[in-house]
Amino acid sequence: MAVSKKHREPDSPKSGISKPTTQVSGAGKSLDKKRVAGPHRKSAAYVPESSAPFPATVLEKVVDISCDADTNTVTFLDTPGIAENEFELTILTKEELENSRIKAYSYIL
Amino acid sequence: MFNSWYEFKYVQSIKSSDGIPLKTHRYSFKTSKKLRFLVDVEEYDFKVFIVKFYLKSHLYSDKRFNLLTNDFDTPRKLGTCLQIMLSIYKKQPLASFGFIGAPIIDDKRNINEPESNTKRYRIYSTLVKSLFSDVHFTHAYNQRKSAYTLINKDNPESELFTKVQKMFADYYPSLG
Repeated sequence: MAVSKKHREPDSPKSGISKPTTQVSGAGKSLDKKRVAGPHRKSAAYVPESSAPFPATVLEKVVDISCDADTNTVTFLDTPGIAENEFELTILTKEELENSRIKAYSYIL
Repeated sequence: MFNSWYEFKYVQSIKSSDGIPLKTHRYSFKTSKKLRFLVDVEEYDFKVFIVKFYLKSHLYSDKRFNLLTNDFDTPRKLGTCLQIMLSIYKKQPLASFGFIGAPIIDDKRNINEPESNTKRYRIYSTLVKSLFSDVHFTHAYNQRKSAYTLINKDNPESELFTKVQKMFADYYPSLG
């Protein structure tokens, strides 16, 4: 069935009713750095009253979050055991090297 | 199996505007199926050379290291890369080497490999373990990032291993 050009879905931006969006400070960016949402951050343009201030259930799976109600700050903690910008290389021991190589091949160096 | 290779030629060295890497040395070779491949050897501080190769026709693709060529010619192509590494080592006996086994992306077959312990990493690392002894090189790896390095033991630079780790962490935070 052909659809009239005037027909639009209720949530369509051109229908005049924009879908409410929740903006979270730092959302969509890399979460591997320590971030502090302080009063200097701009608040979200529009937050529905029924919505949580940020999707904590999603973020908590990615990083640890420390909240301080007194100072109104949220701190994203580094993942335990992995320092920021750490690129770890593990050295192979002589035995590990010998055990994991194809012995039919000869060394070229 | 990896003891045959294609004739390769040096193409050019390209200096990076930001110095990361210091230079990229480009080599080229043509396979028996008339496919032209480029080998980019990135030169970093402490004489560290990172080897990458890809099909020339993929040069401008963001996924050039991820795509499959399906030419079933891997041993000879890897043999060629090894010969390029050896040619660099002959000129620079203090050279260290490294590579990353890029995850396979194949939209047609719906393959989107995670970056940890990739198929390429498993093949390349087994190869270098088998062909490079621990006489001249310290073998070190990061399976999570599918990265492997051969740190030159003859290089007198103090704490070279630590410096190389830190250098890549600084240059490429995404590796950490």
